[in-house]
Amino acid sequence: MLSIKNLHASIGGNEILKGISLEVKAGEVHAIMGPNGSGKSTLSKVLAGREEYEVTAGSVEYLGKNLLDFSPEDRAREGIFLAFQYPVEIPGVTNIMFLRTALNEIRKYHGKEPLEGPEFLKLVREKTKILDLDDSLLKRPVNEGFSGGEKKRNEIFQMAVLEPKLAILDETDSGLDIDALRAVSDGINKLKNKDNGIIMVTHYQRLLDYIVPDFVHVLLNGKIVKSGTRELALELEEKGYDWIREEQKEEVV
Amino acid sequence: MANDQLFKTHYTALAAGISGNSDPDAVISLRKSAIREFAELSFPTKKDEPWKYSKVDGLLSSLFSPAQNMSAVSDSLLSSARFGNLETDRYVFVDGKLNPALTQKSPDSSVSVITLKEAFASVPNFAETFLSKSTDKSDLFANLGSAFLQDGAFISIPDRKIQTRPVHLLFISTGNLVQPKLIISAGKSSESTFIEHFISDGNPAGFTNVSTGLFLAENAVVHHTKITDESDNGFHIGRIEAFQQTNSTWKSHVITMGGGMVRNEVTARLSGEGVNCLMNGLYLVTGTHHVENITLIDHQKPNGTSQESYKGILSDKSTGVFDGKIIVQKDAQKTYANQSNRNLLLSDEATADSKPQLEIYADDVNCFHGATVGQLDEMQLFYLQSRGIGEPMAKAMLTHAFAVDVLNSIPQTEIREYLDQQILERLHSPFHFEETEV
Repeated sequence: MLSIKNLHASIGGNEILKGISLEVKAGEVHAIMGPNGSGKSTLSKVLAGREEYEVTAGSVEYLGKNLLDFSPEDRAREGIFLAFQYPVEIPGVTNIMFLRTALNEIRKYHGKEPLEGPEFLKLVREKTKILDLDDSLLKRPVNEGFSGGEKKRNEIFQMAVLEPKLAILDETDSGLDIDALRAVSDGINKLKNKDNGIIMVTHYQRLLDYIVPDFVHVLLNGKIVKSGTRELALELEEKGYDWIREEQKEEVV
Repeated sequence: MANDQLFKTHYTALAAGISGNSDPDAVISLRKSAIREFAELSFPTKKDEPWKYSKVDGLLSSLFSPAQNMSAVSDSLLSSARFGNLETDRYVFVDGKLNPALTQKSPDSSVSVITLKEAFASVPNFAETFLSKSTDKSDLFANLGSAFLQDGAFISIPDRKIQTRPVHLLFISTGNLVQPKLIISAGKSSESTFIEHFISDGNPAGFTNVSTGLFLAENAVVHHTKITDESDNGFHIGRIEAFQQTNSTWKSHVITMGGGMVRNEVTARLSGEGVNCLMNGLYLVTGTHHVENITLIDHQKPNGTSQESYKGILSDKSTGVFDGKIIVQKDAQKTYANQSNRNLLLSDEATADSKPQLEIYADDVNCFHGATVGQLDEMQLFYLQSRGIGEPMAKAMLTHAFAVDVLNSIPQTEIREYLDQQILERLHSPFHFEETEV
């Protein structure tokens, strides 16, 4: 469903992504790992359409279309969902108003009628149940005053309501205690199916104990330098990233 | 300044010609002294402090006269000014004059609304107790209003009465010189809600110069919302001054949505102990329009609290001004005062001027103030877009969100929803406010 080829992107003249290639098929879970500053979050934001990043070379094909031609909202309407590393607080907009507007904008794009209040509420309640969330969350302003864990769970809740085809989870595990991590990963596992793809961007492999990836990629200095299976993640956990850096140097030499 | 002379000559001549022979002597003498004051005062310029950012000088080149006859008002206009299904006691003032035929009130209403003429006849010492006290003799436009003193109303609520039905004072301008004077007297331990609502019939040029004096007796609670939504070609100057006795609470909301040039002056005199004052304002300015808000909160006695929040949303080439002063006098120990002014610029060509001021003469107080001018937050915008919400809709949601907390302290849901819809319409928003009950 997603085919990234030789993607280069920069911000303020600094090149961050230096030729990324990645294939994601429906039903697959990919983990992208790497140390701080390797370009993991940049990749997420470029895929979601954050305009401050400039794509200087390469292509991104999504469901047969050129993703880079789409505005951020159209990417979302086409089924891409970014779970933010730092979910944004929006005082004055309630979660429920936000979600209903988003869902109905997406439906409109696909020529569907908007969901009326009661129908929408029914859908939302199903999702809160799946994720074991408290309804009071709906009435609160988006992410305002939420704890770190609540913010991350709210991202997954939005994902549950909007039902994306491709979810990009940007450091969804960071800042979570073990209970919150378990709750968030349970939610993700429940939403996983054979038709959607998931890209998990993470620093640590601990999330991968709960959500088992089909593929693990190591991002270093703006490039995917190594790909493998879950075992690669365990190896990284044990040995850190230095051995990969060493490998890289040897290759260059 | 030749225009200045022309302005004075025009209005003094008109005022002198008022046929008010049947008016009480007190009114006639008030008018006369106001004409004298008016003639002596100079037209405010940018050098005069509270007029620094004012665009009131547009009045020098457009001169207006009072309406000759009372115009008919269409049903559609009247019904457009309703707040959903909210039941109110409604009083309609056409070009400043109360039209009793359009009054709608509940038979068991405890609020009395009478004309000024009736008030002179029935309220002892009306002029001294209410009128003179709430007229600033050093202000040109206050004097202009007094020079024509005739229209308006005296509204009173008896001691200990709780009036749950809001009193809707609807002012319809047909494009003339409109100068009503309102006096609201809230009895001890009473509670009431007033909505001063200014609209125009069509889009005429006109000049509304209105003065409101509120007198809150001990322990009275008054919710007071002023909505200005007059013609784009019009001028509006409004003065509101509240005199608050011990333990009274005044909740003021000044919402400006329409008008070519609007100046709101809002003053609270906290003249008793333990007084609470909430002063909220929202100004939504579009086109080349201009809105200025001049507020003063005067803490005179101990243990008072004031909470002030004015927010401006400025688009196109509009300009907005906030000039807010809080005075804490020597006796006003243990005062809590918090003032904030925030402005959202939706266009590169819009301007906001903000001047928050604190003057503190007491030593044991808790006072804060702050002002900001900014644009919509890029990250918030991206977050909404990343969920499928289109840019125009996302902008409208964030703009609405910026404004909404100013309205949250209006107790009636129907009024809040009415204002919400009006705001969204002004912003040409594709977003419609529809609350989902959880």
